[in-house]
Amino acid sequence: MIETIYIENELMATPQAQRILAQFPTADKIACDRYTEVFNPKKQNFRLQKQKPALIIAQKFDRHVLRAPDDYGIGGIHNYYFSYMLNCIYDCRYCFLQGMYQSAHYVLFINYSDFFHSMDSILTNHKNENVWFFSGYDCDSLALDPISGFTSHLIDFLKYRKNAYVELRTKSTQIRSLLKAPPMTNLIVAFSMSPTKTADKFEHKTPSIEKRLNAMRKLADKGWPIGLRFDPLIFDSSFEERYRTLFAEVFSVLSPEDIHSVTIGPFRMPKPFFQKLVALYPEEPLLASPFQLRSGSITYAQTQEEQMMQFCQHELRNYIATNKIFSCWTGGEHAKAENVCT
Amino acid sequence: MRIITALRFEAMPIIEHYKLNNESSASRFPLYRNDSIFLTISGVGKENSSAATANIHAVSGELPQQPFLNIGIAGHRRPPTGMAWIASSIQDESTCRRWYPPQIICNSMARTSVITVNQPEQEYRHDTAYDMEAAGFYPIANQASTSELVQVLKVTSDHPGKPASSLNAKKISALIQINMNNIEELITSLQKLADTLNIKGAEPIHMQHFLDRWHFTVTQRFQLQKVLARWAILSPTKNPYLLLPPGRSNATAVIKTLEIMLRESPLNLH
Ligand code: SF4
Repeated sequence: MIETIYIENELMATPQAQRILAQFPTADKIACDRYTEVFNPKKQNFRLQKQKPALIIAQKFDRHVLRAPDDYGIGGIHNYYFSYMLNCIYDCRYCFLQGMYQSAHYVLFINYSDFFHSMDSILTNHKNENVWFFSGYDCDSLALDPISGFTSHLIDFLKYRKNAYVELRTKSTQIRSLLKAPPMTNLIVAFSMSPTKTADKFEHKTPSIEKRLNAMRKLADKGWPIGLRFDPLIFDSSFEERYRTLFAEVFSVLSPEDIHSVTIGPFRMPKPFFQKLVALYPEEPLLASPFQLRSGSITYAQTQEEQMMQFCQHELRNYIATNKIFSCWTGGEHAKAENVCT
Repeated sequence: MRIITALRFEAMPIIEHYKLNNESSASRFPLYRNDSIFLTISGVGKENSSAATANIHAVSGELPQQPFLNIGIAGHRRPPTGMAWIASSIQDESTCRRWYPPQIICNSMARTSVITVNQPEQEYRHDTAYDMEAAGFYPIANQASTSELVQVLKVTSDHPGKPASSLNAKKISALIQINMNNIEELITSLQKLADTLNIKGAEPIHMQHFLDRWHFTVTQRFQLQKVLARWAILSPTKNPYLLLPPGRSNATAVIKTLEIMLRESPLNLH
């Protein structure tokens, strides 16, 4: 429950901000000039703020859509990402946002039309080519959808731009606006999935795997293309058994035709972010795991990572065609073996 | 817990409530304390508040992640007097600098913006609290701690219908006194929050056994400490010293072997 809302002065009177504020009649509303005054200062503690994050209603003036990192994508040539939100209502212990941001408050950029204009400019630069836009890099794309209303705007935007493809990455079950709309082939709802025990242990406050599967089934029944994201792969003493069970569970609910793409990616995190996580959660077994530093990222040892990736690729091929399976990390040799997202 | 008040009359109810002992009443910033609470009296104004905040941090041992609380009276456009507020933003009127203390404590107290002025406010131009210390206190306390633990509590002492000129020592103490429940609740919550930050990583286990048997350089000691601390988190029931295969002739080999052994004891989710 959001009890504090910061709002940029310029947005105070806008209908969109008012609509959001009206959803929280008892919240304290605190005016600020720019969200950065609240979000960026040093000497904030992510772990403490996670106990009661505030919502910050803001606008983004530039860099609305950015080129995606090289290892990010699902087979497209032109890959971009955008973040209409920063941070997330869930609390996954492996989440790199904890290492990236000073603050755990949720920033919601409500000037959606500026994001869409930027996408349009990019589409103009790639006339008649497919362009992929990924959402969910700095947030969960759907978790706050009932408040943000972003998905409905996105659907309207995509209706008339058939070469624009968007992935909404999520662990959430907030799919109402999708269920209300006719399905679109250029909007992929991609669910991050982990074995039940792993999710229970590390994906705090997220909907259960069962609930995520239910949401996927509902979307697939309506004809929405589903993405499966087994990322990050987390190793534990029963890794193979857990992932084998997870794949079996998922494909007992979904058929290969429901699936747009599957990606797998091992745990990886830039070293400075990882160090911050360890400082925030020194008692956390996941962070004490035997990781290594490779290409500036903290990862599993290369051989172990390859074994994990190969195992998952092999298991997934029992259920789905190879050309739908992508691996999203170019740090290891396995990247050469399968479809690599570049 | 470090508490800063501007006036002795503001401090007295708190000193009595927590039975704080007088440590140095003759110094520029009188200091009172018990086992967990330090309180100082800064005098009026931003500069005094900054200096007193720095001083209480120093004399209380410069410990990191301690709660800091500025308590005092303030003018407010909105009556009634005696109303307690938590500062949700603090603005220094003379420099226009602004801070937003994170609001993560659940309590029933109302929130207000606070403007720190150099002279007592008489016009109450905005719907805000007017004080003379918060903007001096906050940036210094925030340097010493983390912003969630740095809070400002103001009690309305005057408003357009009841000017500050009617205040006296007794009335000021009474305004704080009637809010002792609120103050106590806030202090307890802040202390609880601070305690969650004191969670440490596991202590490295059996370190001394290793140090007694092999020679470790300073760097190697640090590496050993790190690997044994991780061992304590991942395999708390296993003794790494006893499990170490024989034949390790030096510290480098010992650390490497421990690393390899850790790699082979993966995360157990049971
Ligand atoms: S759901 Fe994604 S964005 Fe949210 S906490 Fe988990 S990993 Fe981070």
